[in-house]
Amino acid sequence: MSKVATFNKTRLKGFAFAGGLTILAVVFYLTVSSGAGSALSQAQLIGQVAALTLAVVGITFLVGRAGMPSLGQGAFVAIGAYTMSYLRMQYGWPTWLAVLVAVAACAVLGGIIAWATGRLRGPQLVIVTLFGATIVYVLISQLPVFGQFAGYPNSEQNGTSSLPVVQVFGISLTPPLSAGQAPTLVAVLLGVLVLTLIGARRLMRSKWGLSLLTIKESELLAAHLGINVLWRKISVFALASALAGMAGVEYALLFGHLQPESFVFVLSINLLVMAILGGNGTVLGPLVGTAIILWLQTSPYVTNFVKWEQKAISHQWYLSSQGIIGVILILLIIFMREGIVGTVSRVFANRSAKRRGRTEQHLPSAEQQPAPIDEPPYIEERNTEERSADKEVRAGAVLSISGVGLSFGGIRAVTDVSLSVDAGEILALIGPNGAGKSTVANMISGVYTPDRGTITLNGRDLKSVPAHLRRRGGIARTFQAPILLLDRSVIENVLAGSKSLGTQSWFRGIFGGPSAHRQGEADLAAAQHALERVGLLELAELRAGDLSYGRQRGVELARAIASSPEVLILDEPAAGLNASEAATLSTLLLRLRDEGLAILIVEHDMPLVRRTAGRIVCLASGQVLASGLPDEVLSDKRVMRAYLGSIAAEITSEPKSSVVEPIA
Amino acid sequence: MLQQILTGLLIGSLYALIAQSAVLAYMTTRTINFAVASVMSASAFLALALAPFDWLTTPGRIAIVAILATAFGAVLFRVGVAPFSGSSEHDIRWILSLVALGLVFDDLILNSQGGQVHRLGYATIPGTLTIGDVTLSNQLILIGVVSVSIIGIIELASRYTGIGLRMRAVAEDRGTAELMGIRTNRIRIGSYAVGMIGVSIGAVLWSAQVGVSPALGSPLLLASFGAAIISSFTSIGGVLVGGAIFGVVTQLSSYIFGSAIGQVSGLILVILVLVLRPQGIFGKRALEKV
Repeated sequence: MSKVATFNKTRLKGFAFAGGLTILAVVFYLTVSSGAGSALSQAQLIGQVAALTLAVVGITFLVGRAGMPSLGQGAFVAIGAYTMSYLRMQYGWPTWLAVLVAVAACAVLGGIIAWATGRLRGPQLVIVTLFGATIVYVLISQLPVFGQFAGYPNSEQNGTSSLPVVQVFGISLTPPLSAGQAPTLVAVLLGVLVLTLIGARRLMRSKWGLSLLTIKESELLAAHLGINVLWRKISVFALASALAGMAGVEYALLFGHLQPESFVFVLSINLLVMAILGGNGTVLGPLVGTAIILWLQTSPYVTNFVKWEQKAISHQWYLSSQGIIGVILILLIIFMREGIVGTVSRVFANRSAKRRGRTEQHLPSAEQQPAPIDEPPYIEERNTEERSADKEVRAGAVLSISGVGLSFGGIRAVTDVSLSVDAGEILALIGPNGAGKSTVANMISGVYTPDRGTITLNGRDLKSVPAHLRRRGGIARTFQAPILLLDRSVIENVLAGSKSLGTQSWFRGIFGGPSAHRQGEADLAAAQHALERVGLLELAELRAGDLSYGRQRGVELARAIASSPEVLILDEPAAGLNASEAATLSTLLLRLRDEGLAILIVEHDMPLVRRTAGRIVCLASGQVLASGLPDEVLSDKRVMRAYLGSIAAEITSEPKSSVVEPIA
Repeated sequence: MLQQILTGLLIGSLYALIAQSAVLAYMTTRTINFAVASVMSASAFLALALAPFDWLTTPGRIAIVAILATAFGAVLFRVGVAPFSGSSEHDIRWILSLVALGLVFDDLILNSQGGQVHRLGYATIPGTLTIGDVTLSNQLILIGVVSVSIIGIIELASRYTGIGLRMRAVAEDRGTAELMGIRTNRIRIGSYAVGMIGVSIGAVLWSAQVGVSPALGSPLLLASFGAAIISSFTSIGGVLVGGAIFGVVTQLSSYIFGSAIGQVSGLILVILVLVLRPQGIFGKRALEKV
């Protein structure tokens, strides 16, 4: 596929999306634009959908994408609504300023919560948001300034029970509250909705959006892809809270009056149900889910259903609106976890995949696949040129660690390890289980901070450098058990290796112009090239979870090399590979070495080690047992003893001896 | 002041009585019963339904309520938690399903029983006890005694009985416990069920004091989570300390700053504990393994 064609196709889809939404918004507005009394309730419904969809878009980023569960979204709606109303009523602030401050306040508060709860996971975060939401409810329902259950504003304290209508450039934005006036406010809300959805779509397709998925999958992975996890969690929480705050502002403008009962805890649940029903993490899901739930709540069908229940089942034991939402939520969890939009798009994606015949079965098996030697020559040329140009600079030890030690509690995992890897060299780290090999790899990539010793990259001490900066500095790695986004396509997984994953801001994700586009194209080209090198380009569109284990390892390796790192750390790359896959791997490793990469492999597969490693370091009990050229190390008696046990060592060297030494 | 502190301690013991169910459930299942408020209001209404049958006597009625609540707990786990709790800590479907089940039950109770407050009429010791300047209602003292006893029994049982040992084994490492031949699923269901004994008794005694209503449970739910977070989700007896702290802080700040701030202060304290010491007072900090 040519680049120009894909570029135009993406743009075209973007225009179609924006155009379609706009037409939809205009059509819906026209049905209520007369302001006739009969259309009032529909105008209110449309306005409410437009408002609350924003809060649900927030959930879809926060919960659906980043995997940060929150039961507090409704509270931010309340904060936005009350702050804006209070600033206008109490201090007479102009509306635009009150809106801005209300939304900003929500963003800041959300950011603070994310920062403070950075260490917390799953249920604990849920409890914080639940408690926070309760605090907000207690305050708005019990503080006298907010009129308690008289609502805000109320005639007793504020002289009016309704916010003044907003004027913009002499046009009044009339809410759909009285018959005979065009509900111009609804038109504005629809406009905001369309813009928000367009922005949400762009953001979800950006590297920023992709980075959220990696955080959901594994924060460890995200940090190793160059993402500042805490900061990104803060920004996504702030974004979600700001969207909820905006929803609250719009809600307040729509009804002109706030009652604390509108913001009970159940609102947060309902917003979650809307997100899940539509498809949590999809672009259009929030709109679909919000529209269906709000429509259900106001439609006569629910009332009729309740009447039917009372007649057919019991006058006492029946479910009304809130109970029905509970049932819907249970059914969704059991039968449709991807929601409406998610399920529909999955069905379409499967169909088009079938049409193209792109399932793994149809592909030539690994044995028949062209070896990566058949890479297009131009890529090879370009790369060798680039590499040889800066090879001079890289000569010498790129990565060196000296005297490194680490204890967990009282257990010394690593006592004293020193080693170095030069540019254009493959160093194999071997040793029996529990020798501390993976711990060393983890200290280099920044999972653990060593208690003693130093690790340097190009002479720079990495002591206080967090994992994400080590990745940006050029250290890429794979994991012992591959960590992939199993639900996403192979190419998306490799794109997650792009440098821009950690560095792109959400602002650039939404508003990025041609340069962001070029960046995206360059990332895509790099990802495709990386996939090609591991021999998996044909599988780019498949779901990563559908691949065999060996191929998943290949995807992970492609992700690691997609950002052209300086140092590559591979933790048991050959585990789970068949013979031909292992052969392909060693060819690729040698090629990467020749391009000037410093490669550290932690490996048990001796054929692979022999074929690729220039030097070997053998660890035992957290210390270097032997190091040097492969032949020296592998024939070292101590190494054999550590690896195979003393008997084997004795048998190999002194067949006649019958003395059995205890294992070291 | 002393009055507030003592009242806080007694109410705190009620929070602890609910919290022990959360701790029991968390230890073996790594989940928390978000539908426990529904169990409480269901227990209270059940007790109300049993009120006309005088021949049952008060202990008999409470026993029936406790047995049914135990079954309720087991069903909640089997239907609402077990199918939806995977190995990943990102899997929060069980929270949603429990919240959803809670919505359904609360709605059923509200529709069938109405929103008004009913008088239970039994399971209560009327009158007050006055020592010096301090006056405490006898019912609260009863709640305190019952709570401490039930929590004590469960703590002792978890230490010195075979089932308790197996429970702690599952809490330590479910996989290994399973390999050792422990029927982990029974233990998990059991810990959801056993916790409900205390929850239902607490709900009955409390509703005898404040009346039976659908809104009985939710404030207690938050307070009990608060108690468990402050002490630790891994210590059964510890909840008495967590409950006491939560109860006293709430009572004192209500007394000094008024009810709104009072209600908020306990919740803020819990959030602070989660942020500063997520494992609670008695919890050990978990080491993360990669």
